[in-house]
Amino acid sequence: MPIRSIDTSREDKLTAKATLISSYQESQHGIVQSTSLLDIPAESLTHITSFLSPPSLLALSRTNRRLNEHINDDNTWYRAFINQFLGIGPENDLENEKILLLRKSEGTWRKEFIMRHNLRRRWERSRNGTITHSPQDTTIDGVHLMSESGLLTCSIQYGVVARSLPLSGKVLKGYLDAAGTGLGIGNPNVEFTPNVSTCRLTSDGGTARAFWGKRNGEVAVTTAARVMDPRGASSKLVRCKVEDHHDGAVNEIALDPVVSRFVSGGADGQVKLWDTKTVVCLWSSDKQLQSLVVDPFLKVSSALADGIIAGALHSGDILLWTSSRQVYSDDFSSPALFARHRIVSPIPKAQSSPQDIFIPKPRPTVLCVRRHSQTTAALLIGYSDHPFFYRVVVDLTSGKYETTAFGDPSFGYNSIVEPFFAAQPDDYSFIITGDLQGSVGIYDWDTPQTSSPVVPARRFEAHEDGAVTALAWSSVVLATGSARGTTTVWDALTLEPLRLFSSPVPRAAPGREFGGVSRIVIEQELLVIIADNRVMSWKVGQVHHREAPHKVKHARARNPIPKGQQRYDLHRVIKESKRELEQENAYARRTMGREREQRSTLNMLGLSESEAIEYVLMLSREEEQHRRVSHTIDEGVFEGDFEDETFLPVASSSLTSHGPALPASNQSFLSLLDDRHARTYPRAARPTTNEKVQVSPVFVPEPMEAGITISPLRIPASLPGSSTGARSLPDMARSTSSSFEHFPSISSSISSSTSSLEHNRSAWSTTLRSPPSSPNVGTPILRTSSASTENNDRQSEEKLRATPDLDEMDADLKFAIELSLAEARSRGEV
Amino acid sequence: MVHLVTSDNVEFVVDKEVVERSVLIKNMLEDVGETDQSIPLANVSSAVLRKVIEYCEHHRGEPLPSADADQNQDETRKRTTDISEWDQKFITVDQEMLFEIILAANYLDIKSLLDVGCKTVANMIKGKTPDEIRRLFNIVNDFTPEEEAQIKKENEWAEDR
Repeated sequence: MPIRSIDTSREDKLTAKATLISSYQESQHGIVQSTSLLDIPAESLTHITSFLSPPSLLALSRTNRRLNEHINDDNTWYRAFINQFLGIGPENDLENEKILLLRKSEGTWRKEFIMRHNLRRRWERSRNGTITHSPQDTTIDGVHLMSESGLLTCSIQYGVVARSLPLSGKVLKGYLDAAGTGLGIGNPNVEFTPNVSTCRLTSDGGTARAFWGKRNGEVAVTTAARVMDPRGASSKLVRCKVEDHHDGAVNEIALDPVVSRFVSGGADGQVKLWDTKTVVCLWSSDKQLQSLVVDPFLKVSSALADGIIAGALHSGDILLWTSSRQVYSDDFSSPALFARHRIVSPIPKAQSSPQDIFIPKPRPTVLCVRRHSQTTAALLIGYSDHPFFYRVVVDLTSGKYETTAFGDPSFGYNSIVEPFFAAQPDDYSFIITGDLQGSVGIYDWDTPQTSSPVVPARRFEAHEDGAVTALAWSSVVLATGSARGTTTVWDALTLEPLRLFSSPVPRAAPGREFGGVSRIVIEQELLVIIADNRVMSWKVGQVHHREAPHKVKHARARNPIPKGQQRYDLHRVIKESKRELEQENAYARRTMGREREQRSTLNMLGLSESEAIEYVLMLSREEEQHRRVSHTIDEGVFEGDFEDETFLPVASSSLTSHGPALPASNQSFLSLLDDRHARTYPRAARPTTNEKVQVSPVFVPEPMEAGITISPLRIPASLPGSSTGARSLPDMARSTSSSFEHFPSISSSISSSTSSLEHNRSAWSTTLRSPPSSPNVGTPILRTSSASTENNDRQSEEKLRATPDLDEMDADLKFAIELSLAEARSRGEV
Repeated sequence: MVHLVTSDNVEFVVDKEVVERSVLIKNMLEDVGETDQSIPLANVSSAVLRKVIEYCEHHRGEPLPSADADQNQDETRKRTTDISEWDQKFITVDQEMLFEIILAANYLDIKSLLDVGCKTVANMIKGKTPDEIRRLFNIVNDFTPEEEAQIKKENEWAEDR
């Protein structure tokens, strides 16, 4: 055989080389020493291989007989496994190691290691996308994963169970409801049952069951065969008899491993045992009273195969009923044979202090009962707002019990307590807790009874962003959900983070709380995260091998990007940007509105802007005359109207206040009206007081002229000068002030006293009032001009137009008018 | 001071504190008590012992890992294949020396050194094909082709599809 011969020749070569090296070694060190990997003693070889991952181990096993032998030894795999997953070094003793979280599913360590290695790799590296859908319109209160293609979610508010496909996000039409109307078309506004207080879901093959507890005490069971079949599904509701009702709301329904029975606990302080098929009450406990007031059951649990039923009362006490009879056998006729044991609340009673009313009372949130040994039962009871949970071991014959507290008060209150009981004899039972600080603790359930609290075997910080609100554990991974909506997947053994999922709830609007993760379900390789009314599912996908690039394509083809998700995101983005655009438009409309209104008013009057101004002037002149007669000015009205009205009333209001005493004022008024800051008029105009008039009569003519000519746009300056000169107009005041120091103060005080509007127009008033006094100038004209230049600097808007001409055009009224008209036109076009 | 004599009759004089990193020598000294007599190390050559002492000198004063260490979880996390920088440099030697260091560490019972050596070898093996490993360590392929095919077939299920 040609192949054979080639092989041997290669071997020969290699052997030759190896001997060469070893002989070289001998000569080097003068001793015969083995230095090849093959000559390492077995224990050291185990040490080396304990750092290797399965692929490397398998590769090594294919190199050589001796190494193959070594690697075929399961101990090699065991050592590698515990070193890499449990951190137990190759040199350490294994005697006292208790691998709490390990659920061995394979026969050999080799298989176990490879299986875990591969699964973990996939959890960590799989690039599959998540699929989010909203099967319910309201918060999802219960969830049951039937298979990869069937998810039941119930909403207590609506009292309906929705059916959806977690991996495609498709929601089947029609709900299973608690009212017995059958499957409808899925309209939540029609198909709802308003008085549901609790719901439990279960399934058996393709048949789903929903157990309803209602506020009126009714218990009902909806059975739906072939529930995930869009056409063939049918639902049937069985209600309990009226005489079997609880006397209050049904607080909790607990399903039992014994499928044909379930247990309910009510606000009436009763626990009832039901038959699943007929919903006949088989047994009912006495009512629990606490000093004549009913003590409601908040939690119930049962282990009917062992004849145990337990209920936790609002007061904190726990009741336990046991029966030697097989309560699940069909001929369950005389149910009164339960023996009752009362377990006093394990929470130590603190002395009551006035603050106590502010501290929420611990309420039972978790209750779990199971047989502990032949004669004892173990209860797990957890409370809200309480740092501990308790294990109560009850002797079923004597009723004696001993309580062990688990927890660490320094880590705050538990937010979730999840028990994971051993299913196989060599597994361990443990409890995983999440607390409000975001850390997770793992407790050994079988810790011997102690008087001091049992501390967690392991504790790690799972979430920095809030309380741990949901927990799920499979033998491969642990998933924790936080109050902020994020979910982290951890390796179940090493507790290393493998993956982080962001919240299924889209970015909440600022100020709105993020919906916390309410539930997580892990089923094989499917992860389902529930938050608010959303379900996010993710399936572990394939991870492509480095040395198998052709598989990449294959994997991609098999894991298409979830289209629904993509489209959903797109829609959301579009909606968001639309809303933004609308807001922008609304803003623009608002700001432009007034201007348009003004223009339209003008159009309505059939006037151009300049005509309107002339008209206004005319009006104002008339009004002035009228005023001279009456001497009463109602400024307030004008001011009020002023803001919202068009130019016309504005102009008139300003005119009324300081009458057109001087003929020259015509032009000034024009400029006035043109000015964009029409609102400044009233202020300028308002302080018409006689005092002022008396003070400054001397200066009136000159500054007035100067004001008009210099700055046609700067109306206020010209205005005051125009009439009595005493007006509080800024330039005026300033120019006068240079000679009379007290003047500006007067004007300011007057103006401030006259109206509140003054304050609103602060921009103007500051400019006006700041004293840029040009003190020692000889003539009033000069002063004014300097003042106005000063003003120019301040008002950048007008500066451009006004500055260059200022000095030369002093006397040129015409030009000023032209300017102002031009401006008016340009304004009109804007 | 402790006198050590290697297999090739070279005597080393080392601080007691340094050499006590080796559990073997530590136990020996405890048994013998204070002595000026040299300790013969028949399985260690001078070249290797020099390296070993270099390692012990560098790690002088570090706490010995206690045998029954109930390591806390964060520490054990580090037990994977990462090696500190100095150790990495220290262990960058030829293959023969590397294996001899491992053997010496095993013989002298120096846990941390053994760990470093084993991790280094493990890192060399990681991610390689059987052929590459053979070439790297001069391992002879003593399988018949039939055997090789069979082993390959056996291992196929372990491949992550």
